[in-house]
Amino acid sequence: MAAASSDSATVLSTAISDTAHLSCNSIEVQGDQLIVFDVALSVDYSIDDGNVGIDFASGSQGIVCPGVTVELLSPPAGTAFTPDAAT
Amino acid sequence: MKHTKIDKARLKAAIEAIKGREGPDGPQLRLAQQARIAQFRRKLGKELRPLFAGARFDVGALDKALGRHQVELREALKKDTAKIGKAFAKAARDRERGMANTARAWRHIETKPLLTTLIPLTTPYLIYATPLGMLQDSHIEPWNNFAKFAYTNDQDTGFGAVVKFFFAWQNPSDYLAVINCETNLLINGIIEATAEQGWLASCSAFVELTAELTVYVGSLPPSTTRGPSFSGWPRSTPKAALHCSAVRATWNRKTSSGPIISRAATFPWKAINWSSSKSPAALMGGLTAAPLSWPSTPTSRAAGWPCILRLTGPCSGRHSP
Repeated sequence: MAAASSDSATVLSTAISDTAHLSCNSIEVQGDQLIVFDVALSVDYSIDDGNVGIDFASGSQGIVCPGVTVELLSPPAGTAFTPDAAT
Repeated sequence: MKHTKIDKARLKAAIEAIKGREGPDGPQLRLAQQARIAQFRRKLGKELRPLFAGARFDVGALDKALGRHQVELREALKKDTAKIGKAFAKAARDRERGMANTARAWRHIETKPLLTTLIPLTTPYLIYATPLGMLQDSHIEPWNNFAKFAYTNDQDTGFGAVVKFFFAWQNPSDYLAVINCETNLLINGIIEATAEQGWLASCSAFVELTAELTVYVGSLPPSTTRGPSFSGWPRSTPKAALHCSAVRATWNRKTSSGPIISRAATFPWKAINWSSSKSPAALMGGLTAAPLSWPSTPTSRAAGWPCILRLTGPCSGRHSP
């Protein structure tokens, strides 16, 4: 996976299989305001005479984000919730 | 309740603006500092090596070399401290603005019966990765959005790469609302770091993964929460004489916390026009034909609305309520 290195180089490989639960609470949203949810997997690295490799592509590897759940804590003032209208 | 149609052009402009934003730089600053320290150590090692070649030790020369190394290291760290202080000052300002947002949200809902409505957003508007070309495959499908990517680097540097899922929601009313949001990021992959042998001082390679949710709220400050952080750290310690080789692996687990405001969002867009009867989430997704629905009934938190999303294992299937 990683770039070529000498035979004496020290290598560490770590397999990761995990779920990160992420949340943000109590966000004020003005009327009509658009919100963008940025769900990210960040890779930070530093190399000083070596190399790094990341493989989230082979076989069943990858990252999955099933979705974002927005919890509206209160109906906007002055409106009534009418689920039948939601189609 | 009115339903909204998100202006895709405006959403696209917003995401483009987000892409160009600089991150909080915390991990990168730390990694850059580690790399700089390692460079000084390596320089010291190269300087010291000839001194051992003749089997005669010039203690005075060694002391001078060590002294120069410490002076250079201190100067470099001093510069880093100033840089870190500047970055932290910006983060503190953003955090204050975010806390003000949270305070306003709490004031809006305090002492009122809590009635919650869950709105699932099951398809992202965009899956994005940088550096370009890293993304090998991506798929958008309700409850099953995934990205496959691979990346290698052997240049002496410290940078980052990122894969993002952009979701969006628009307040469908003219009135202020308060929301919570949550998501899961399922991670299956391998990280690898290789460090060459060093002379006296170590070579190093460090890679760290962090799951992160950032909420951009129009022109208001966003909130950020960081999830588990996965890291591997191979570096050298003495094995024989002055050669170095050893491996140390660390796993840093950070639990999700409350909102931490990390950066200000000032998008080049303000007013949003909408006039649709469709679900905002479906319109937001736009990339699939699968309709999304609002919860069939309003529900209270105490009533325990079934969890829309609670996946804990490898995710390859679909959600079934």
